[in-house]
Amino acid sequence: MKKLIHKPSLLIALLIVTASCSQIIDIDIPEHEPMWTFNGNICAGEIFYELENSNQNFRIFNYFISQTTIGDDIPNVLSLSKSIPISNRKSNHTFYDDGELFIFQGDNLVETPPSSVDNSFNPRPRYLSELDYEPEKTYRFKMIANDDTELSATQTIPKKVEPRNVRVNESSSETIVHFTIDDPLETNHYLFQCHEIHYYSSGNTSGYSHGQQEFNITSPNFFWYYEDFDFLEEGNQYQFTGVLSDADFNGQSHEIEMRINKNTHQQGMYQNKKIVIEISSMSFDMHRYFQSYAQTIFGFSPFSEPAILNFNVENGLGAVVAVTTTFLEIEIEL
Amino acid sequence: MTKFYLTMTLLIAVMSTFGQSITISGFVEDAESAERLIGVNVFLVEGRRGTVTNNFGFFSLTIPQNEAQIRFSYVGFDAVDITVKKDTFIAVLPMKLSDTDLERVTVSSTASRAEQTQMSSVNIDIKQVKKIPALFGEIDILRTLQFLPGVQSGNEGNIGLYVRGGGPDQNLILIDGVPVYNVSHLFGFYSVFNADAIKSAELIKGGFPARFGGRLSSVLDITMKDGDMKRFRGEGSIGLISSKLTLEGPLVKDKTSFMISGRRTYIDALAQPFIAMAEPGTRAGYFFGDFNIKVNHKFSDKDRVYASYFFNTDKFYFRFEDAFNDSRANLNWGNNVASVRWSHLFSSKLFMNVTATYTRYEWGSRVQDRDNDIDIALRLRSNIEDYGFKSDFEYHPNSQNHLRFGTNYIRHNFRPSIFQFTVQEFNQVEEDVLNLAEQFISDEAALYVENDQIITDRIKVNYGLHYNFYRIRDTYYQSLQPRVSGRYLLDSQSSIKLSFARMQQFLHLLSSNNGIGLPSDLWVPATEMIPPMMADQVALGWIRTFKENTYEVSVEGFYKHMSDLIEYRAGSAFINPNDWQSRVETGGTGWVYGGEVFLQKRTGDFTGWVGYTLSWNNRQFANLNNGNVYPYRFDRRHDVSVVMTYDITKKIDVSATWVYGTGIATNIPLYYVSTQNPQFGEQSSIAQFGDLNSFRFPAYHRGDISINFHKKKKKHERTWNISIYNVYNRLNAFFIFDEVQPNGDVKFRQVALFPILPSVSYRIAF
Repeated sequence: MKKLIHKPSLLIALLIVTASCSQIIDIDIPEHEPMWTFNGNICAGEIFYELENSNQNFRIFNYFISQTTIGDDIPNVLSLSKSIPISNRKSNHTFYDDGELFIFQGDNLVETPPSSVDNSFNPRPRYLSELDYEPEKTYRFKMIANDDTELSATQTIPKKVEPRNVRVNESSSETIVHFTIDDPLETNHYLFQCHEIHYYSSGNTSGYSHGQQEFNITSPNFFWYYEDFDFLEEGNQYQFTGVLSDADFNGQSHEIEMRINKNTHQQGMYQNKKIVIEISSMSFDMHRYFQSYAQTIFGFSPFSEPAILNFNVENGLGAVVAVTTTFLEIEIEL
Repeated sequence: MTKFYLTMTLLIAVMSTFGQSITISGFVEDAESAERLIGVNVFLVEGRRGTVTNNFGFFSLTIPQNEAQIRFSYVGFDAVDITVKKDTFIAVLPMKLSDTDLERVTVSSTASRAEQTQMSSVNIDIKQVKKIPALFGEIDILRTLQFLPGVQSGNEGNIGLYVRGGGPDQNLILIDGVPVYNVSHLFGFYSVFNADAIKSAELIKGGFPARFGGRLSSVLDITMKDGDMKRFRGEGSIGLISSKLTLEGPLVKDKTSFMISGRRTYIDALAQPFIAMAEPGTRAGYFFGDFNIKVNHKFSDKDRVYASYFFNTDKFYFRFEDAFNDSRANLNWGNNVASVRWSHLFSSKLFMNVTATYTRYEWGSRVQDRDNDIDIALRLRSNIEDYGFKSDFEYHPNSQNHLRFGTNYIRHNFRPSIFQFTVQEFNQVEEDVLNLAEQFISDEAALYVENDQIITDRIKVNYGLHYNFYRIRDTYYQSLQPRVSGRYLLDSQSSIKLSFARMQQFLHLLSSNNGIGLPSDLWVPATEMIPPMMADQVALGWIRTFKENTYEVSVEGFYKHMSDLIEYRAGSAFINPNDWQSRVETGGTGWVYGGEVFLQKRTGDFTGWVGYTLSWNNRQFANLNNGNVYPYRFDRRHDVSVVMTYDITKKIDVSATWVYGTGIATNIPLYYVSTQNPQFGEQSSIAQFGDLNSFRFPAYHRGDISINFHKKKKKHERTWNISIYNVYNRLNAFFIFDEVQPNGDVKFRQVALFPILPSVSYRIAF
């Protein structure tokens, strides 16, 4: 022992080698049993905004609508699939068309949407609901899978926002829009987007297009689902979608002040003097799902907290959630 | 405040009118160094009355008789018996260290812990700490605390304390009465406390007396050595990764003394040549260090002033440079803690201590990268700074009561996060984002009064109230926190104890749940939007001592309910520059309950203990885990620890430890689910964790052994320590990650940080 101690250099070398060998070993995790997954975005209210007096039939579509289904009738899309164990990463989800979908309003069966492939760009089997969903009515969506598993979700379609007392003030740097909404008793969250429409002309092509505008709403319950990380992600598509909780004005009238940054207006807007505000009233389930979705998507960094999707389907995975959308057209000063 | 003192004066006057008795009071010191001794048992040889010396070595014992034999006993010291016949003040009662051989055959009689009202507490024997095996031979007091039941560790190697299910932020860690906000060195593998500079440490896990407040889960009260009043002495050690030196001695003999202690690692110096060889152009390193200094002066037998300062720092740096690139990164953190204390004895029954305090914790990081003409820099910083003042009084009016009361005021100054991101191209600033997070200044004040009262020979109760007031801008919070603990003596060696404590905490630690182990947690205040946390804890226990306190066994059950907890919002990241208040979930609830068993052998050649904890630890937040209850990350169903020390001869002692714990909870993706993207309603596939914290690391267990060879020389004593950490090379998981295999399959793998690690260190004391 004494000899060993008196050879510290040998000992230190041995210790450094030993200490530096952190090891990696395989571990087993419990295998996930695939679960039925039932999804659907139910959109009511205005499906699109159409530019008036336009010969070109220019449209801005509802933020939530499935754009692969856009046609003359624009149905709502629901789907049935199964989850995949994480170890089976290379597999794609299978979408099932042999389930049976029943939609009830109250106790009344109002639709049994058939499965179909909506277009060649999206050849997945889906269930297309042609029902004209009425705000403030409650619907139950029941899906029976091929093994008789019954999945269900219930949604009350949010009340359509009817902005009133609309006022516009202009300053050199901002367009300030005030309007009042009447909030129903249910817990809602309002998602806002601001569009400007501009005319473009380049070579032989010309027409209308639109861009999204930065804005802020001066209310303590206003927030963004997606954290403002735009210095890392130039042109983040989500940075123009703000959300207002009705926690402070549930069941009451509420005046909203929306400040739109003029410095980011595109040149084309001045030719049309128009901005379009899109207001979507979301059910509480939609808010919880959307927020968790944003957190999951955002959680890209190793420093991010774990995020879990908030589902509302009973007896399975998935979210069947609802929104009602309104477009508000604003004339502004040049 | 004036009303409070008037009320206390009146109460003292009333209590002083109790019947005839004699009072013995004074200070107890180590005869060799004149260091005041804390926790010395002072008790009637015949009878059940007794007390213990406080943090300043003071005691006062009033007895309802005209003559009594009083015994002073302290583990490791010879007991002292004195007979008193009238009121007696002992300016200095010296106690001598036991002769080791004698101690082995003679067990000193001490007062039984069964007789104390305080439950769920433990005093740490610093000498035993120095015998226990240590990681790289670096003795650590917090690592020893992790061997106690009810105290759990975090990740592999981490010294964070999770006491009865609370987080590390819920521990009030005091050094000479001043809070220390971050106690970790080397990303949590070591604590900032240098064992050579510490005189005593007491951990309270529940049944908190009213004098403590401000944290939910525990109080760790550490006292630095005062410094030898008699002679100059020193202690030092050389280890594999660090060296330390402590010096103490009289500045004016028997009047003024000092203690100074420093420690520094040399990982950077050892690693530098290898890094330079492996990566030319690269400089990288890491070191930590700490420094303690304390001076105390005795103005009279009744007045003493202590001034202490504690500083620690950790620094990691990296630089790579060539003709086109210059990349730099650094990360540093540390505390500055200072206090000045004045203790004064008004009379044999009334003792006072007033303290002025200062503490600051700061961490910062800077990453800079220059690639040709583009220069990108990212800077992060966070700090908390407190100024405080407190007064504590102890009054011993009669043989039945021991009254304590006092005040505490702290001004907190928070800068939770400072963020700067700069991009320069051809020396022109392209982007400069500076987010000077809002500064928060808050005031926290407390008043307390508690009484330790003997009701009957069998029943003794400690009861009190702690009143807290907190202000931040125009928002005020206040609370009245009742505290009560009592014991019922079954016989002279055993008792049943019961306690209840309500605690409130006005600061939060925003901790990342991803377990990355960086010192990036942010201290943030309770604000208008984020209310303070509250906890109620009830505990019931049984304790019994055997063979004149040589053996002790205790069983405790506890239930703790916590409210207004906060957590980072799902998906958010601490490096985000946004306002921290928008990144947290508030209104969380926590429940912890379980039982603890502790079996200890306190004296003799063979000492040690076995501890076992069975507990459940859950959390619930409206916006996390679908609003459902989920296990806390450090929920451990079973936790076992065994500590054994054996003195083979006077020159050789061996020790061994073993720990076992249920694997901590974590999140790993379990499956892919098809989702409907809320935007455009498109389908996408997202990996899901299942429920929050639903996956468990494999169980953790580890055994360590060490051997000490002591040799006394003419003027010094040297000790060689050989330790083996993780002696049977258990590969415990530090973190788990998923890896895509070439065939597309996903495999999960775990990284084990510490395999078997032998180490050697050399200590010298003179």
